[in-house]
Amino acid sequence: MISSDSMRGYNDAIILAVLARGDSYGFEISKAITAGTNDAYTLRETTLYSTLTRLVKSGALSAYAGELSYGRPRTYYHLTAIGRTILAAKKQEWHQVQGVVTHFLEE
Amino acid sequence: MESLQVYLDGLFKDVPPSAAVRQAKADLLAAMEDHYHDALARGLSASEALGEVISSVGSIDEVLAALDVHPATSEDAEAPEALTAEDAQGYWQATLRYAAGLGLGVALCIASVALAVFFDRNPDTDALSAISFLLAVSGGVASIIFATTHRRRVARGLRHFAVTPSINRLAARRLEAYQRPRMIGLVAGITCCICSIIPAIIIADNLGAVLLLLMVAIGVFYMIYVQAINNGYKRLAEARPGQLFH
Repeated sequence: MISSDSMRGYNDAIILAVLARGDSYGFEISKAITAGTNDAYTLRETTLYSTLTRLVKSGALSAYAGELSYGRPRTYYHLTAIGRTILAAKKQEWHQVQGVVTHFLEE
Repeated sequence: MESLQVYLDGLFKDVPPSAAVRQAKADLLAAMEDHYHDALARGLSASEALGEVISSVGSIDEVLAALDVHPATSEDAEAPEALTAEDAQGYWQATLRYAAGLGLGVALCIASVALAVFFDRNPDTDALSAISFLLAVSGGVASIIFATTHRRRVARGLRHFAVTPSINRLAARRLEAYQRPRMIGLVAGITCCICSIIPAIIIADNLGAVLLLLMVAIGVFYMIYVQAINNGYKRLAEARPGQLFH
């Protein structure tokens, strides 16, 4: 299990990457992250929700009421054009970070 | 899922309600419910599923930070007004009246039996026996009720005031100074009760029983009186500073 501290800077990018595949809602995003990492990383519900809220505020995502879940409308999230730009920048940043960390830790 | 709703309400209990907070709660509840049903579908029992959901919720502080919401903290709440020496003096004054009223009430109830026995010795005063008994009992009960109500009213008025270290010290000094009068009162009361047996032995007549009961009534009055006053000082001497008066 990867600690949430190690992943902190990349929660935004991971969520944006999940939503780049299509609109989704809270638990489905969380499940996609857990499954995509073979259970190595799980986002806490509050971390997921606060990250989504921040991304909506910054315009990277838009939120809308979708299908009913147990009698209540689910909030769905959609990746906006701003979100795509941020995701592209994050991908580029990640390649640089990866290069730097690999250089020092795999010598 | 009522348990999840209750758990979430508990997490948000200090958060001022707003549209954003309501939305956050609804979204978190939806995610928690989805998680719960997913855990059930994986074969977990209801309680295991609930445990898994609750342990994965995390801290709501990050949610509140994302929403720019600041929960009401104890520092934000208005500090309670401090109890002054005059307030404490007023309370002790009320305690003094309470002590006298309670002691008198109980003593009257005991003495009512003495009065009944006293008038019962003569067949001509039978009615007087019943009347004096009833009057003394009702007087005693009224005295107890009046004493208790008065003190409660005073104490209730001070309930939102906080005890300070200086009130603590003042009460401790009063308590210490009262130990001698208290001891004298207790010894006098106990002696009165023990000695009440003497007239009962010496005087074979019912008068012996009357005197016994009257002495017990006086003894009990002294004991209740000093003990109730002592408790009034003790209550403020032992209250923790900062704690509300209760």
